[in-house]
Amino acid sequence: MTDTATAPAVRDSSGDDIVLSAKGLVVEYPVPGKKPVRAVHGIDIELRRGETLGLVGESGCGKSSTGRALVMLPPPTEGEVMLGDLRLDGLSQKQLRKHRKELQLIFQDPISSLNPRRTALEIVMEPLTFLKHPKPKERALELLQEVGVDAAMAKRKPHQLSGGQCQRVSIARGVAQQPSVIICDEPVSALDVSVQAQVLNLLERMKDEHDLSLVFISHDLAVVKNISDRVAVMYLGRIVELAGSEDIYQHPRHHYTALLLSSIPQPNRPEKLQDVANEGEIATSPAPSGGCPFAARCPAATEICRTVMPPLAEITPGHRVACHHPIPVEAEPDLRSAS
Amino acid sequence: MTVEPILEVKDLRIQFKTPQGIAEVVNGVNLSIAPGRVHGLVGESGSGKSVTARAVLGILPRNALHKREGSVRFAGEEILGLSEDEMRKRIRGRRIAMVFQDPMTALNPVMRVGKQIVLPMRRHLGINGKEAKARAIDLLGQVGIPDPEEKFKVYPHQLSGGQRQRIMIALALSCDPELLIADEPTTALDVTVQAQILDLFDKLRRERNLAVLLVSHDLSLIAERCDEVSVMYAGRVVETGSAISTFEAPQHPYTKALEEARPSLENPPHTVLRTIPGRPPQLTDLPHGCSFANRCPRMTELCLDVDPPLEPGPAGRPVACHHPVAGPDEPLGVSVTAAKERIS
Amino acid sequence: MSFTTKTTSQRTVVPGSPPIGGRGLLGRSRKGVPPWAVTISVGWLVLLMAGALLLPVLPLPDPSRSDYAAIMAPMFSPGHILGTDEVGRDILARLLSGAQVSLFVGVASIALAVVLGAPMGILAGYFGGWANRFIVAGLDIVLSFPNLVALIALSLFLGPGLWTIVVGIGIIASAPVARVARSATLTFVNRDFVTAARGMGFGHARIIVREILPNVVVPVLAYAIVVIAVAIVAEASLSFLGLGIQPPDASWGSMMGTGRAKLTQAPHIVLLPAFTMALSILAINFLAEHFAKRFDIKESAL
Repeated sequence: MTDTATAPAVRDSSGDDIVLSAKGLVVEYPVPGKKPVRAVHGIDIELRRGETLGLVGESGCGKSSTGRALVMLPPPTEGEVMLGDLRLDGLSQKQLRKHRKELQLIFQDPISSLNPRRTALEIVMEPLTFLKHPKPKERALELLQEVGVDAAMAKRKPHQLSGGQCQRVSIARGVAQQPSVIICDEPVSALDVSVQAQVLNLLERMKDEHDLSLVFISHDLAVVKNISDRVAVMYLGRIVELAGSEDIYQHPRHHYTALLLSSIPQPNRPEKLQDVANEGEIATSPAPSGGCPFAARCPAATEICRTVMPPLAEITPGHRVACHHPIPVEAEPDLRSAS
Repeated sequence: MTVEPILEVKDLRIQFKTPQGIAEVVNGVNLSIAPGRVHGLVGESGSGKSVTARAVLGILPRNALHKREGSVRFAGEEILGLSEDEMRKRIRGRRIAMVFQDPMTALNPVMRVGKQIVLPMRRHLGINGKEAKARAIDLLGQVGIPDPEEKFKVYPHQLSGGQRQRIMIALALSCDPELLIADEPTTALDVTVQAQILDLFDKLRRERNLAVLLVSHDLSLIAERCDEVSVMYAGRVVETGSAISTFEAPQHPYTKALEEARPSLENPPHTVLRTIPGRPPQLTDLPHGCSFANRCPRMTELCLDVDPPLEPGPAGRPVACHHPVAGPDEPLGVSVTAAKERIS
Repeated sequence: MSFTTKTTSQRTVVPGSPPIGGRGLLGRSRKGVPPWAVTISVGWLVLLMAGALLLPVLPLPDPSRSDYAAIMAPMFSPGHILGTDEVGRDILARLLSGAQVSLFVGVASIALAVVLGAPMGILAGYFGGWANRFIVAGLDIVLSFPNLVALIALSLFLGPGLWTIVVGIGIIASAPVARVARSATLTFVNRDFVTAARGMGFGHARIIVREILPNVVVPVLAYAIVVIAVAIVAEASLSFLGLGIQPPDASWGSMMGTGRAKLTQAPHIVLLPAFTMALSILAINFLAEHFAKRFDIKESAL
């Protein structure tokens, strides 16, 4: 794109490596006649330039709410969101709109994310015409070409495309405004395995070619591991563990992470892994006493876990965990011993 | 296998009438499950795995053309030609039970869960209400529902997704079936709940000598939880045999490609995944030779002309391929079309 | 007569909703209107419109002039192919003259209803909250009024006449049109593509016009076509009661109203306009259904 005049303030702040961050992020949803439901309980999160940060957890853990709050759609109930040096919360709608193009979203449902009455080409042209691109049609076709949608297919409407093709169109639309961050909310969960691989490879390639930083939200740990540099595991609205992708899968320190990993279907599972206790279900709200939300299911829970919320603390360089009794590194089950 | 199979499907063919023409949805499928075994049926959407499972129970959509081709033998009896009435009275729910992906659509939303379990028991087993209730509560306990007495009285929407699926399983087990068909039973569930439900299947088949037909799109799930597996593609079984061996040493290029397309915890981050170029063929217009040929890196002239039969391959398990993968270390190869796809 | 209790009123096919269950008149609404019914419907309406427009040049007697030599002439009389009424006016000419009124009232009042109702509904659905509550309350008030009574009151207040009917029906019908527009908007406003549009920095006006409107147009128009039929019935009802089109101008309703005294001697005076109206309404309903099906996007096709 040519309009360098409106080059974002963020890209000038090269001294700092953080492209998007949030502090004390709280997301609540109003419930008619009741107390609002708190989906995210005051988390801190930082996205470094050029990295892919995975957000992983089970349904209701607040990963999607976090992702949406990071792009102010809707804005968080509390907490601050920083796009580089720019504080997004507190901006007026009008001011915020000017910076929206820096942050894009890609959704799970390939159908719902595209306007059913528009062709793929029109969908990708829309953000370009909005930014007064001189040649929106040419640029849109170029972008579609880049994601593997040819000119003939660009004339089709979403319901005439396959799920994978729809996601490609979404990606093309997402990069059209040259954002610095894309939040991918379960972008491959609705796709078949072989199509999923195509879209994941495409995302990796687009990230490199368009200098993107990604937040990748998924319930699928294998997918998250493959695409992420760092991974944050969420449980009931909190980050319980945050570490490098390889590190967290090899040395899970939180008992919930260990349970998640042991639950992934894996042929030839080492026998010792099957012993991870898996009982009970995710509660809908944390313990009223204010303790660790996982305490009720945790095999290592003690009295302190039920009363005191463990803070997310760095226990080895780059590895943060919120647990009073983290799994010691030696006893940790080696998931890769199978191979 | 020395035990008589409880279910034997031979050369099953099912066609659907669609606006585009006749779709060959299931195209000569063979299956055999012994009591106490779990047989996995794996494939991507449109492979015909769900339709195969449903055909066993005789529950097909209205646009299915019932040609009664092939045979479905259950406990020695041919059930493919049975009337709807007979299926309902003697087989469905009574001797073959089914668990669906979405328990919310399978459970009656305005009926208490206890009653939903009691009703079929009274009808099929002819026991009185009190006895049925006692058995239902016992069953709820067996499938891992806490406070079964309490949960007996609730409505489906008051339960979590995992609990609803447990209710579905209790319902399926209520008449002590010999075969359980589970169609993507855990796809809508969280991974920890999925593990619990699959553990439950394990326990049930051990305790009750239950045969299970487990349908899933997840190859690693099938490999972990099943004894045997059949990999389906475009309405056909392309590879079958022991689950672990199929996973470790796939013989069919499709199985192998599927495995390499799936991100694995064993690979480091940013591993480039294998993609399968193209799309599955239109079921209304199946190609002459092998259905996978146009996407296969090993394709030759022969594949376009002759549809490969399901015959023992290099690993001894049946495979429908002219150029099967010889061993786990042999690379699949990259075809010209696949290479093109990589570049673009 | 009511704008909302007709079974057709909720037959808005919002894309993405499952096909409407139940059986239509031809027992196959699930598959849409059969082509022959569409052809006949279109043919009938085209014939009616052509007749109405060409009435001044057609070789027919003046619709309001009495032929005293042929009072209550039966059908197929010489010079009066469909006979004459109780004061000797040519029925065919009056039917076509009535068609002018009916079609004009139908189209004009519904155009007014769409212009008034659709923006209200879209705004209520899009913004929700305060705007939604305010608009919905207003709609409920309009909808809770007995429509015919309201129209009679209006016609007594403003004086009976064509424009009174158009404005009255237009205002009353704008409420259900707004409702349809609102519910269609609601099905789209939370779709991810609208969120994506907001995420790209689009303002509300651009989102409404470019993302919401193209999706709301089809269900609203499909519904509007149905309401044309209802408006025709409303006009006929008023004219039947003598509160609509005033003599000597012809309307299907007033033809039935004045002819009913002679029902036993000359039933064709009442039956012909009744039959014409019934056929027209049936044709319009078929077209509305066909239109909705035609533009329904089968999103489940994936």
